[in-house]
Amino acid sequence: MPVKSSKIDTKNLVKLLNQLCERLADRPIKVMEVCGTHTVTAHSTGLHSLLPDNLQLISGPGCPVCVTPAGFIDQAARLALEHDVQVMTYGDMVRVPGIKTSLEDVRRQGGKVSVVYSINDAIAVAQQEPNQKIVFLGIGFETTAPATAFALQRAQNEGIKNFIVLCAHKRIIPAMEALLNDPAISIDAFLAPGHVSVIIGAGAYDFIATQHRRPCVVAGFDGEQMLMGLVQILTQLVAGQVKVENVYRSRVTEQGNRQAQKIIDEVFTPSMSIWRGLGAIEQSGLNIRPAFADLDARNIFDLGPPEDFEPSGCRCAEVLKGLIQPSECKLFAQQCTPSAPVGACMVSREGSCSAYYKYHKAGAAS
Amino acid sequence: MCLAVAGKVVELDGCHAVVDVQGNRVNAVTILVPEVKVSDYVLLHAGFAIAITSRQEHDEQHRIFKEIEKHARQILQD
Repeated sequence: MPVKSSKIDTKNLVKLLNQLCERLADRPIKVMEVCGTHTVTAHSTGLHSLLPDNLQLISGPGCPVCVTPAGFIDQAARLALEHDVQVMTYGDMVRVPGIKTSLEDVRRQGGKVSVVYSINDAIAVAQQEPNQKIVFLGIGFETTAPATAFALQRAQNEGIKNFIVLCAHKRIIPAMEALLNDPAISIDAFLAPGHVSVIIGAGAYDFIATQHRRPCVVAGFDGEQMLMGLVQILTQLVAGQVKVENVYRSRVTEQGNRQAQKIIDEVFTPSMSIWRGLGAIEQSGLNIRPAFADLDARNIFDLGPPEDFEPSGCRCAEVLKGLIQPSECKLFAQQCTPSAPVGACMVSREGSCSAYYKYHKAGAAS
Repeated sequence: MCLAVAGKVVELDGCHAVVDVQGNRVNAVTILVPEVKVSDYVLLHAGFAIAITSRQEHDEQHRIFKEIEKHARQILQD
């Protein structure tokens, strides 16, 4: 039952957006989305081409694969090659270049790296092969973190001792706050991510309105939802209002999913975390609590914190902050393409550079 | 990565469900939506139901659209 929006008059939404922007014609407006799925929808639906000249929709650090530091990949690679573990992960991570290697390279060298749709599949393999250590890569925002938490609880309760997690989960709110506090970045409003918001609730963004005096609207993932969100943001700006609104009310509540928040709190504790491109951000990561130390790869293996690294010439850091368009990077569509990515933003389907390459390459690369 | 799909719960056994997603039967863990019942519609992400959604989602979306349209027009007239 996907949200079908056939009754919604998108032409009217675009017209309203233009009328609202005309009222602010002397003012360039920059709206940031922080969700890889929004990034792809904005490109695939042609939303960018419908926006008035003074309204820019920029992509922030919303792709979890893109913001996972390069050193994390090398740590996972070491586990597969030096400790004879089977690394299991969500698909996009396999091709991400680390500092020295990628998990795809590890697989070519004979290392055990598998892709799973769900962490439940990794648990099942751990049960079927009790003598094989399984290391699941815990990546993603609050949408994915409850699944990892549940798996750790289940492994502990059922005594599945060969199931281990290498955790790099991220929390979106501290990253949004870091962007708002960065004087080099000017953001007029946020279009907040739909499915992270299902977990954390629309109320989690209140600080954007109350402390930073910017509008924020939660939106789902089709073009109509994003258009409705932008109309609400512009309506606020024209009216001189700042508040958090939610056009995805059919799925996102004010409080979010309390059960999911509870399980995250039971298993993880907020911690400083390194974001590729953004550096270290306090409270922006999730560490596994000591009660689950026997299942925590960072406790079992001598890994240390993952290093951050950007390849020479790669401008993913600026892309992730919305400071430049992918086409402004000299590597874009030249040395860095989806088939031979240099930077993380070109790897994931939801990365800004990948989406830009897929939908605008001809114009951008010329 | 945060992509999710909606489907209808057709079987439920403890915290494990079978969800019909456009004709495909998908296994899901329902630990995050403990109140779920057979015939509910849920939002699925990476094998977990993360929200129970409304059957009238389509109509609700339209109501929100009309509300946004009305508010924007009011602001433009001020």
